[in-house]
Amino acid sequence: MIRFENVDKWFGTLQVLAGISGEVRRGEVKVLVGPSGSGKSTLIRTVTRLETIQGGRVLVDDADIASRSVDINRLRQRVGFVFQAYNLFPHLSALGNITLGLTKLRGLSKAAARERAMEELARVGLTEKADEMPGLLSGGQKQRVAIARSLAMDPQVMLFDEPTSALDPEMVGEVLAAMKRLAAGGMTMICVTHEIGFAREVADEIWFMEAGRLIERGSPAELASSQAGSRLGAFLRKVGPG
Amino acid sequence: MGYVFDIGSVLTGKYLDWFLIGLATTLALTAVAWCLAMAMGIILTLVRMIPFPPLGWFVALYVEYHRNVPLLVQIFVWYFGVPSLLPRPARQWINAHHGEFLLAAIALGLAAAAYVAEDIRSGIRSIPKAQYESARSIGFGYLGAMGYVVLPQALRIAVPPLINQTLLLFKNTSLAMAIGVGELTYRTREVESYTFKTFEAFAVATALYLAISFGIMALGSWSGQRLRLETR
Ligand SMILES: Nc1ncnc2c1ncn2[C@@H]1O[C@H](COP(=O)(O)OP(=O)(O)OP(=O)(O)O)[C@@H](O)[C@H]1O
Ligand SMILES: [Mg+2]
Repeated sequence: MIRFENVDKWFGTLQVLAGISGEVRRGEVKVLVGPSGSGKSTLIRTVTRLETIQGGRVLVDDADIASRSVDINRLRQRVGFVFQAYNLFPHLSALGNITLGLTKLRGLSKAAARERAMEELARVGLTEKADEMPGLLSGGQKQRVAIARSLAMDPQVMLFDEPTSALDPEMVGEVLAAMKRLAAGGMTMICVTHEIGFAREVADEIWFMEAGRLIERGSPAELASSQAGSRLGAFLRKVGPG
Repeated sequence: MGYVFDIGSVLTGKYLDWFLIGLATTLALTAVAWCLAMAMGIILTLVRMIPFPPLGWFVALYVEYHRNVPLLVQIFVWYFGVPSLLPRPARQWINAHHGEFLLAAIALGLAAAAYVAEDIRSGIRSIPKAQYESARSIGFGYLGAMGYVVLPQALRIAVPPLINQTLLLFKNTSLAMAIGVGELTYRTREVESYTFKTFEAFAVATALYLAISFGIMALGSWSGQRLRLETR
């Protein structure tokens, strides 16, 4: 589904991704962890060409996303992206945020788009907030609307970049719950998160990045048994119990 | 002997008519120049977004000229300079069709366009890049992201400064008297020179200018409130 082949990325003279290789198969959930600045965001942003790469390849469904034959706007509809800062459109209601892509990109009628959007809002438990403007929603509600907005485009993969890091602790649970339901439903996901409990529960594999390299990977159970002396172990102890 | 203030003396008969005609001309001049300013301001903004440097330089030059050369000079350039460059029939047409009104409207509108373009641009700049990125990651192209996400927010932010520009434009129309446009200030001078009622004449003009200005300002604060996006 998604394959990284020797991906290199520089910002000027700073190399932020160094020879990253890895594969995410259909239905798998990968959790990406690592210290700040290790390149986690940059790596998942390469998947939809929010960042260009200087070496290697990123493939989505076996197509090199850098190739000219890939319609990037279509690809982005198939790959949902959820940002740490939600990035809802503040001039549109919760519902309007979700219907915008459905009407303008998918060509759905207003009524059909509304119906579809309400389904997605129901999935994240926010039907009663449909007409609310984003500025009046809590952080957790905004992030759930952002997830619903992505899901409404029927993506085959969802990428999450620290979706709970900007939230007050009491709101983290509601967003993680939505993500867990998504994983249970078979969605292919790459999640950058420091929520280790979430990783233990849903990750098929945890990838640990440091200084632009993918230095350890394994299932939560494997890593738990071998983590005593490892970098990942030290890191997990630092970010706290999960 | 004291000066007797008698406002009634300038508010009767033909003098009242002159004020009303002057006011109507001022409002018409404002309206025509405003439409031109908006259209040209939006065109300048769009041209500036095309990634081809000479176009950007052209817009920058346009903006600097109109912001730094006195408006009266710009009006003279249009009134005395531009027609002399045109072929004779065009000149005759201009003279036969209130050329001074049209040329004043062009000069005022093009000058205001420079400010309009700047206001829209700073509106666009104030929208976080993440908004554009977020629209792109849903699958919108450049135009869709700009048209549905960035511009609607930018224009909202630009409305209060644009209303401010409207107020300035309205006041600047009085400069058109210098080329003989029969707007409010011009007519006021006429009333004054016929009646010698200097204070009365200008008191009426002042009241009329103030009334319209307050109207525009009220529109500004009303729209500012309507357009503000509520946050918690
Ligand atoms: N647009 C940019 N220009 C220059 N350098 C950048 C840019 N974006 C990121 N970087 C740098 O690239 C490196 C990797 O950044 P990235 O955001 O991918 O890290 P991260 O692992 O997501 O960190 P965090 O946990 O803090 O989000 C960092 O050193 C960062 O400073
Ligand atoms: Mg990051």
